[in-house]
Amino acid sequence: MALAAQAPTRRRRMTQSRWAPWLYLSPALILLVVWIYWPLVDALRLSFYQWNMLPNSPQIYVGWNNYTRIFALPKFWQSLRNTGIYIFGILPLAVLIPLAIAIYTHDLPERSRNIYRAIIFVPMIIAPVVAAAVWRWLLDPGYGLVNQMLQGIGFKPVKFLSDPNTAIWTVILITGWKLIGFSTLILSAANANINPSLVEAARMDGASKWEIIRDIRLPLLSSTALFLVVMTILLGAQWSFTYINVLTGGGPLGSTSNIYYLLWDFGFSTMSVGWGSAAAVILFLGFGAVAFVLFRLIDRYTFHDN
Amino acid sequence: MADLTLSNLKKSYDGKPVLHGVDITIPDGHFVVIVGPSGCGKSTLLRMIAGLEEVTSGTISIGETVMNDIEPADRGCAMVFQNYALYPHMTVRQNIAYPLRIAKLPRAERDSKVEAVAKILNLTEYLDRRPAQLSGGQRQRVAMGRAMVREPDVFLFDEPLSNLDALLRVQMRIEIKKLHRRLKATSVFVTHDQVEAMTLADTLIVMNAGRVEQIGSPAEVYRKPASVFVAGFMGAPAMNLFPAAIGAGGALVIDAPTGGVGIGRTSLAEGTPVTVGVRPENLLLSETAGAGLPATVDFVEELGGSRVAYCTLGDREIAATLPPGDQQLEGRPVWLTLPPEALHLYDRITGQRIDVPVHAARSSIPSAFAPSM
Amino acid sequence: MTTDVLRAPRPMARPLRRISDKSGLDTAAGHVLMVLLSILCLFPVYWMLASSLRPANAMFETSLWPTSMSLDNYRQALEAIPIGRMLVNTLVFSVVSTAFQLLTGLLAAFAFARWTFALDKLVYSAVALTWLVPFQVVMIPNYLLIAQMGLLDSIVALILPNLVSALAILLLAQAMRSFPREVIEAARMDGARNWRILWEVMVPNLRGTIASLAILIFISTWNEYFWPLLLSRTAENSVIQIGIQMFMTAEGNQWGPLMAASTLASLPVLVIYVVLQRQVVQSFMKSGIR
Repeated sequence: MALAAQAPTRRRRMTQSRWAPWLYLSPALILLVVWIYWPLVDALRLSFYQWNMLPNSPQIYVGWNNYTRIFALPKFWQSLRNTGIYIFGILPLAVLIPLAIAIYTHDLPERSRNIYRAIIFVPMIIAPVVAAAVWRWLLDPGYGLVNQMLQGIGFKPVKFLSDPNTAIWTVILITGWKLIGFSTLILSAANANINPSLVEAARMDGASKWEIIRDIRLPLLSSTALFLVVMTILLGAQWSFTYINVLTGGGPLGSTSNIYYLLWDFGFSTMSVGWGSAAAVILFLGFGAVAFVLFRLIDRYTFHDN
Repeated sequence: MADLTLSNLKKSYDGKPVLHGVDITIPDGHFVVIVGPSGCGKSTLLRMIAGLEEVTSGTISIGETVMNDIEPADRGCAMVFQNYALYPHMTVRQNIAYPLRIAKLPRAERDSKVEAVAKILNLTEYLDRRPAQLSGGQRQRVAMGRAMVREPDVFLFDEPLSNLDALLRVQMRIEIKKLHRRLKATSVFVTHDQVEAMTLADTLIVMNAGRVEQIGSPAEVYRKPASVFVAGFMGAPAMNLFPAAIGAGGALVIDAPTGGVGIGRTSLAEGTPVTVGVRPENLLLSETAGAGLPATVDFVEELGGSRVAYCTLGDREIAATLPPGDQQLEGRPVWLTLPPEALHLYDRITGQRIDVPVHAARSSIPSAFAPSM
Repeated sequence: MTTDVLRAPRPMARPLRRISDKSGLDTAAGHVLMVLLSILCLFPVYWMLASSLRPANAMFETSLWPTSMSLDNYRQALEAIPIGRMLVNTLVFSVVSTAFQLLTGLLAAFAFARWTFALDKLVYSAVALTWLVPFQVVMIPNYLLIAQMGLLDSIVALILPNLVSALAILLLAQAMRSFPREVIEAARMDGARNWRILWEVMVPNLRGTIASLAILIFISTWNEYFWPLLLSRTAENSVIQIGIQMFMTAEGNQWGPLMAASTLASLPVLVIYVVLQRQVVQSFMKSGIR
């Protein structure tokens, strides 16, 4: 051999790779089991008991009692209905308006697009508690800027957060404020990713501006839009939790409470572990079913532009 | 010292066999090329030698040692990958030195080896660049350097030239051959490109569908293809193959629109089903009526140094190589002569070569006419 | 050739239109739309900053720019709650969580990318599913577990459930899977064992993904509210998000200190954003919907 002497050969047997992946997985898996999977099981168990969370007090087995009582509770159905209102209220703010903006602004010059991008993203990184605080200040019935301006042009001040008719919409708008810029960015990026030769081909075929939007851009944006819709349906009500807790406490008269807030209310305000767990199980099953259906829909109705 | 021996080597994925028992012995210092169509198992075979794929059954040994379950790094093999597989975050120097660093060689020794290898491969001025800053050919040389620096018993090449452009490929082919002359290490080179295979190999191994079809020198494989598959695979344009029958007295008869035509005489028994093969360059094409099989020229491919005429004979297509010339032949009737000594015979059932001589059918061989000669 | 549809006469002659100029009107309307959206998104943040700098007697002014500035609100906020301590707590919480989520994520992702093993698809789905479990569903058992461990009202308790995240595992596994297999095989041929392949070959080439993930986890943890809300008993052991809430009470709001505390809580994230704007946006767009 041209180079130098052979290195001494010590030959190792191939190690059985059977346990190696589990070794690498173990920290993550153990933590996931401890903090998510075991708690799921535990929540299921606790949902059949009555207990007030104090270590010394007894856990009493009550069978399906917790479930039947929750289903008989008007508060539960009100929260469920509100959850639906949250989702449908957030949808236009998180998907429709951003979609329109994204399509309408796609041919703005690169430089100004970058500046807008940097600005409209800001709400996404602001902490929900901070957002809640700032909006509470802006919407304050007495001294808030918004009400002062409304009075300035001759309107009566609006009790945004303490009027049962407006409170839920106020919380929806604040949730939407956090999301609107971010959704716009996601859809703009998808819009910019559309292969320009498709648009050029459509122009060669004689399509008008509107026809290009309708026949090329919207269909190709549909998978991203659908993804945002699904995320909003699954997570929309969760996003609102902080605002409900900080701004309204579920009130007035339960008008802003949703299922996530109800869970928190059961578990930690009223200290009824059984109710809280039963509600958690109901939520988990319902959430799982909705997620399953939605992901099937995504699989079915998405196509990829390659 | 480092013969590479594969015996009854088998591989299956989820019970589906992809290699059906391969037996090969590669003598020390030989340059062996494994060639075959994609999916024939040649890359799997190479990766099994490297230790990157588990052996289902059979053995791989290098020298006296059975390597079946030895770590890839400890088999004394180095591999050059198709996509170079350089570490993107390391410089050329670090790339080449990486195996030495893992082997805990002292720094000075490492450096001197890397310098030596870089000098051989003309990489000295690129040592501090990263792979992304190199051209395809340079990356290929770095990959070779990383293999060489380990001073392996066996070099494994997995289609290393397939990502290079045509000109560079020829250049690198020659460089690899020169390098092999210099290092004299056993090399196994996998490719689907038959020109690469023919030019590089001391020994050529043709594989198909998980089996070895033929082992031999390039000339042997070309002159005496051992099976219908090899006959059709090696050579461009491909060998013409058509079914034939053995008539009374061993007459070799093929079908033509005008009826059966005798093209030779063999010692085979009447009724043996055979396939006849003839390379395009051995076919004689005549524009004079009567001599040989009547056919029509469909179109002519101009290759500069020669031309290939594609003729139709009934519902069959036959290619014939012609010397360069200007005659307009497309659409014209021609007559094809198959010289008996250039015919290859194969068992139509097994596809295996039948090594019997073919003699001229009649005493008078029709005078061949090749246009523009 | 008479039936060749491609050669048939054109069904209808269109009028020949001129190439329309990029109409300046459309672009202008687009700018107007984006400016309005920008104001909507940025103004509340500006108003927070502006209000936090107004002296107490000018708190209810509506002038866009504070007519006189003072740091009184900040002084009041600092006196009311241990903001420094809370910021440090939040920083520890975020940094430790980020580091561990990356570590457990890298190890687990490597297992998925490097090997096919029995049940690998099942385990992968099991990890992915946890991303969808709402925290509210497991909060009571988690709380009870922390209580049993005697860790209520401590930073450690905040960190514990945040040592792992499905998102980190999934994103890193994705990135590792798209890393060329041949390079890993080359490293094996060169003698590198798995541990080395992970840290010397994989990680240096995933720096971009790791950095973007780190930003995402850090900011999300910094802004985390719900879990600290369950655990916190004293201001000293709590995070800044809980501190902000302390200025909003049923009896009334201390607007000035509230805005000051909010500003202080947002400052670190905003600074990161100003410095790494492009990377922050990208990392959220890749995966930050939650």
